[in-house]
Amino acid sequence: MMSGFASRLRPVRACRRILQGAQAGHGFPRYAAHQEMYSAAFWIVRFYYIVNLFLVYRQLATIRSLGLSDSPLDPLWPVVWIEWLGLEPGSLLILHVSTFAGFLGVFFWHLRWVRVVVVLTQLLVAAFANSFGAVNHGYHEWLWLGACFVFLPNGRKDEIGATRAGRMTFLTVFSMTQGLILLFYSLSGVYKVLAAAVALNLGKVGGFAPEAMALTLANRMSQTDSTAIWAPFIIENHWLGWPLYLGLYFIEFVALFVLLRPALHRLWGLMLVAFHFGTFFFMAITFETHVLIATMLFIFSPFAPARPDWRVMLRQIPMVGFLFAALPAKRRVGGPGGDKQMPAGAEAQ
Amino acid sequence: MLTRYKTAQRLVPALFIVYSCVAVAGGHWTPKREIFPFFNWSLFTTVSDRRSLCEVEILALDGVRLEAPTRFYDLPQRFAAAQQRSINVVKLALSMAKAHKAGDRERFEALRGVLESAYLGGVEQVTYRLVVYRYNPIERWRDGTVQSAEVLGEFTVDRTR
Repeated sequence: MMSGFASRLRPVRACRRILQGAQAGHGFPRYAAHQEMYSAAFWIVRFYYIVNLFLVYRQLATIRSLGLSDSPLDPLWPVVWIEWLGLEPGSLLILHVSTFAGFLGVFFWHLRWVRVVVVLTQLLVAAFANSFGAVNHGYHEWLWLGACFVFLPNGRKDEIGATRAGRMTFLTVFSMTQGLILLFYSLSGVYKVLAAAVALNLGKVGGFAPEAMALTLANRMSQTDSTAIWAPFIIENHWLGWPLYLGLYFIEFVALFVLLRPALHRLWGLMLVAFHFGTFFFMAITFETHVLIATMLFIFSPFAPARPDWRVMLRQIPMVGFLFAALPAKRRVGGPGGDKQMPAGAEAQ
Repeated sequence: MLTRYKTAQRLVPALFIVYSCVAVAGGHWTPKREIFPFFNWSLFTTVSDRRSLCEVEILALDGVRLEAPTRFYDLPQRFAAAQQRSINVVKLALSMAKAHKAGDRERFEALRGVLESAYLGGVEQVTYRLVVYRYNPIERWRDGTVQSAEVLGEFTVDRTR
């Protein structure tokens, strides 16, 4: 008879199995690799706080000009207090505290209270910039990265890295950050796929239609009367846009599954970056921080295997990986439990 | 430290579930379609050959009537946001159209104030109108064809007084 503990584990294991895909789950730890992964993750987090100072600097002029404008505020909740303090004094306060927090973050990000201060000032800046009638989402991901990093353990590199539990805690929080970003893409994909499925069911033109990309691009061009470099070509040759658009739906829809498939981290990072380049070439929209985040977290993922194996990657692709199950595996070395092809980081995650 | 590791492990699914619930709820049941900063990332979700768009069209500038109603984005030499192709004007006009449709006069006037001061500044007098166009995006992109146009209102800003 199965114990209570074992029965509780069953659904957890089932979920994990689905998320990890066919290739993982050999069940042997890679303790030696954790030190290297921890080191790489640590540097990425440090880089985040360095770039954050740059972004604080970039936003100074915007905050100042909004503070000096005579625009009525349509405040988001974190900045409702500006209505009592006044627009200019309120903006000056945000400007100064975000500058202070930016510098503090570069030098003392290893302290949790500093990370809390940084994320709170990021929240103020994002809320203030979006309190003028329209909300843009250029800095949402950046803000959420900061929010996740609050949960990193307190301490300097050597202090955290001295124990396995410390390294694992750091890597787990880092992995959570990656997961949250992938969740954003999956949410976007789920909305798109659901809307497309509903349209298909109703017999209307929707996201699965061959002209879907052409319609999206033409609509965007109409909205702001702009011309993206490659949009006219796709609008006039909509069949060429069809595979690109379906590919985008797929990349977004399954993004969350990639979290526990480290062999795909670099590939998905590359595709997400390419997608954001595409939004400029096809739609004249830029997502600067998103490109940076996908590069930091996925192209340079600490969990990605040092030597990518295209067979493992194909087998790990969500939903279609099983088609490549028959591909011959690389020669295994090290005997049972010593499979060098095991995707690095699977255990850490 | 080991306890913290276990806590961190439990935090992961909890964060994902909480974020998804709040973001989806905010996207559907709040006027701003977001409980900031829990955005639901529903971007370019709707694809259709029948779209509608609320637009700002300028009728007169500094007391001089234009030959024809001119789209805000076609006057980049007069408005900085038009030069930058700022999507905020589209989003603002859409929010105004929604407030108008819902009969929320207070919200409509608040948004109008933002539009006029933040995006229609730089000129002393401006007369503009809000129009909702319905169209097939590809047809409109090719030759400007629209299926219908509904004027929501005409407004004048006079900063000389």
